[in-house]
Amino acid sequence: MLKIQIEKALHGIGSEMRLQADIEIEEHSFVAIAGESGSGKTTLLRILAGLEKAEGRVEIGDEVWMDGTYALPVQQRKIGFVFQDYALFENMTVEENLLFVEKDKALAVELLQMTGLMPLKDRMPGRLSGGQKQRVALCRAMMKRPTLLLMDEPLSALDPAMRQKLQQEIAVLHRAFGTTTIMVSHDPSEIYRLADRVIMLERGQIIADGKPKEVLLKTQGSQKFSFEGELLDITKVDVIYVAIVSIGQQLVEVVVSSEEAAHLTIGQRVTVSTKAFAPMIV
Amino acid sequence: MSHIVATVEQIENVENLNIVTLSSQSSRIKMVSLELSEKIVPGRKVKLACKPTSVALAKRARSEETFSKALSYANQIPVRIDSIEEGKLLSSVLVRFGEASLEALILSDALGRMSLKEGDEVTALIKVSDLSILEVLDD
Repeated sequence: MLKIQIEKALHGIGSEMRLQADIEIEEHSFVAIAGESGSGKTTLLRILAGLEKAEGRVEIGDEVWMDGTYALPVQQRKIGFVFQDYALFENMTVEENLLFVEKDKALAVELLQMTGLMPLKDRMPGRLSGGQKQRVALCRAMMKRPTLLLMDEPLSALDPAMRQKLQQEIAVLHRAFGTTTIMVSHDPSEIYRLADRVIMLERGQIIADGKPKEVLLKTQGSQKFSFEGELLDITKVDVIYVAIVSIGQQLVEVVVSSEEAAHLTIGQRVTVSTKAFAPMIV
Repeated sequence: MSHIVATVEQIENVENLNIVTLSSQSSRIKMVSLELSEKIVPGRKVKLACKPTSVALAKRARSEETFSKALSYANQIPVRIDSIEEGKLLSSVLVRFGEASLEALILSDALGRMSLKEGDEVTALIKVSDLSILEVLDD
């Protein structure tokens, strides 16, 4: 069990806020931390890694990593850390990057094989694609056989196809090494695929904590198909009205009655929702 | 959107599929849903919602029993026509169900064919998959 009870002042834009977390995380679980930028996600991860100070206590199994003024040095914590920007040693080959962490050649080979990097083991990072670099960073993070794997938006710089491939590899490594994994992510599909729990932060506070489907399905009542958008236009056709709403990068049309149209104002934020029974997947 | 305030009576479920039976104005209303919020339990008042495009109208049959046996609609709600707005192709028919006002958007062609007029007692037909719980009322 990973027990986190921490507090820290966050320096937000224009306002002071406090990061407050009191969480218990089961061993071997995969937890996603979500929330808007500036909500304290990265700070929480850095506190666990020992890269930032905070008030409170962090305990993993029977080891105390932080308690009041005491802090176990970063090097002595069994963690792996994967950053968004890879952070590889540019002057070392792929294999050397792994061996720098731990001189365990057998493990390095095993990891390189698991992720299909064996043919690239002698390459310098400068000659790798983004996806390959992040695979190396992931392998390097596993070299200490970490109890806790921390990932800060590891896949956000990659294209969707590469992202999906690496998600599978992350899942495989997480299971194979039996680590407890905490990943900061913005991507609902990534969270749904990988995590068995998601913790949502807002201005330093935990506002939701549960199974991804429970937390991420945006529903008020029983409706399952729900999106936020901006109402761009309403036009009358016969006795009905057609509302044009922009959602993400798309425009959608929704038929509304005159009564509904009377309550709508162009430019307002609206929620477009329907039952899970109505949409078709083609 | 048409709204009906109703009280949850019973929830039957198979895995994450639920059939919710509710009551309003001594009529029984049914809806189908996937996962339901844990707040939705028997005795709870909820606001149901339905698009006007999902409401069909039927003239009352001579015998209610024959009528309910002839149609698969679980929701056959007795209503009275409040007003009709006739368009070229589509028409909006506002009907009264107790305190709730429902809107049925039907083909104008059907208005003439059925010779519907204000004050007529008709039956509103809504499929269980077209009704949803918009919000749980606190009471």
